[in-house]
Amino acid sequence: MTANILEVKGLKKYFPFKKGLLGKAMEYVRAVDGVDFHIGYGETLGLVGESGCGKSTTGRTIMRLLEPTEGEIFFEGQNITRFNKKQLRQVYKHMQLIFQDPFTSLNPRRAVGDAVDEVLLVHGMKDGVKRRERVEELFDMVGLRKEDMEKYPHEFSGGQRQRVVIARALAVNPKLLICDEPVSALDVSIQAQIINLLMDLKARLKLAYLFISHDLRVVRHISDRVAVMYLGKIVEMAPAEDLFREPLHPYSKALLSVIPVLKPGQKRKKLVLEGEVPNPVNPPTGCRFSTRCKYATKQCSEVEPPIKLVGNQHFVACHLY
Amino acid sequence: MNEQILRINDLAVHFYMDIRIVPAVDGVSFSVSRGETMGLVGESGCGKSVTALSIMRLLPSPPARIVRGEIWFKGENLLDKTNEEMRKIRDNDISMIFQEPMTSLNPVFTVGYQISEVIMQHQNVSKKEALEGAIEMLRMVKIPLPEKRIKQYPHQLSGGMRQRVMIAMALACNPELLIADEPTTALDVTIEAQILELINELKERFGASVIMITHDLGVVAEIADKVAVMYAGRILEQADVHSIFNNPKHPYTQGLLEAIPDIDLPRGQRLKEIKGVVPLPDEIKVGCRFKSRCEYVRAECMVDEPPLMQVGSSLVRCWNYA
Repeated sequence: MTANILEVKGLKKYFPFKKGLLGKAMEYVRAVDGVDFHIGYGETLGLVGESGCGKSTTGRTIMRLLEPTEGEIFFEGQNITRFNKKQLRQVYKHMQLIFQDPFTSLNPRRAVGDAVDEVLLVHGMKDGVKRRERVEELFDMVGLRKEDMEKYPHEFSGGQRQRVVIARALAVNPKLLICDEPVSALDVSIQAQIINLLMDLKARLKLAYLFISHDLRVVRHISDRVAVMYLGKIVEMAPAEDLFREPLHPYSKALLSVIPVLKPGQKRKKLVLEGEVPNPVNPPTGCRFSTRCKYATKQCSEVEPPIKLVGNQHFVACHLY
Repeated sequence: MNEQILRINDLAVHFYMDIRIVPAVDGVSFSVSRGETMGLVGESGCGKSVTALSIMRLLPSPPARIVRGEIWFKGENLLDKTNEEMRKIRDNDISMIFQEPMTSLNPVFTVGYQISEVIMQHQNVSKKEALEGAIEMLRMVKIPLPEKRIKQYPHQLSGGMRQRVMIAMALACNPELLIADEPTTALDVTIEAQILELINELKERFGASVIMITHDLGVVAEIADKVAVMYAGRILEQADVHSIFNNPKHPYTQGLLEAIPDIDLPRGQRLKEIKGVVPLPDEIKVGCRFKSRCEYVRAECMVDEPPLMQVGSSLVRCWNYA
């Protein structure tokens, strides 16, 4: 049990909304609909999928920023699903979250050094001199200068701001970082800097990551294992190398075949999917991908395929296997 | 095939801000031939969108002003046109699609109304015929059940659908030049693949020329015949698509290509970084604009800016090739 830093079992998150003339009928957006996975100590799990597949909701529900509808979350063997605020504060010493847009997660009226300092204070570091030393150490760790501590968020570029956010997340010595599209808003030349920083920090601090992104190239590069989500479910999960070499689920196959490559004129066989992701309020019965899958049979539209182990740590939810 | 449809000479666009003048585009020249796709790539603030908006004459003025240059479209300089003449050209000859289609569609009119309006401006047809034309356009951009869709409003469509509607509208006037400004950036990869495939198909069908503006080199590799790499208001390298990807010459182009965690790269390997940050166009006063981030910087880079030099089949702005 304790071999894993994080275990997620049958996690569901439904968002209710009112429907009908008088708003009496309740319907649910099934953003996350039964997700199981684990992350080992020092491991990076990539979570990929298209917009609306539930990958961000999964990250936020694990952080308990959203209340799970069903299922259980184990952090270092402890079931944190029903933890109260005070208990969660202890958990947050070891688990932190980084968002896509660093501008919205920093207070514009506060020097960034103070923003990091505050985290240390909240987590009980009373000694001001020690705090200052720690902030300097953190800034150095993420490749910022000491002078940058006095600056305000608007004085930084997007990449620099993301470094500040990473410094703040590292302030409490976390063991697990949940990164929600951490490099998606950055320019290509800056993106490489942040990816390298995240990989360096992982090696240096033995961090584990849940790396949520729609950018398959970045996910492949940084992850040990990758889970592919579609409409609130994980359809395939495997070591990154295996998944990208030989995806099994028809959705993963299509998704990976359309990754842009830097080779003009190379004629790849692209599996361009027809149509769009169905509405998560009324997901298709049976397999959720059956409406767009070219291998779909009658069974697929009736019976939901369970997720099965088909190879070395390779799970897939498809009746073909 | 080799007939030039667009020729930009030494275009310079400055933004007059309160306390400073920002040269967003500073001496850009390129041409596009009939049926050709030109990729304009660069990072935020490099001037790629400003270049496109200059061609359309859609820059907000003030603060923007075209201070220099010529934009020749089919033998006429667009910068000499009156607003009224320009409006006609935008109606008939040059169309543009944007990153966020929601901002370019009118939320209070149905999709069918908006497309048929374009058709009616171009052809002398009745409302009913125009609406049938709209259905035909939607079918062409592969929107399922177009008869239903024309009665819907933009907010009822998904992002990918909206971009298709935009493309249908842009093509309704049968333009000779289509300018696409990051048309797939806001879309998921599977939808992006659909839209790129569609643009390629339609280009072949209508023989239109395309200027594809993007930050994503993957998109360029997929769709462009030739490429211009922009940085801080300048073109640093320009070549056919094969030379750009197989034999990049400018250190910036090389850096950009190596910074991408390409699918063939060994996993977990450190990516090649381009140090420093993307500069604003007015930050660099003397010398090469890329000098502060360049690995191969030399003495002359600090003093003089290199001209665009012919190196093999490429044009490169770098002293290392002088």
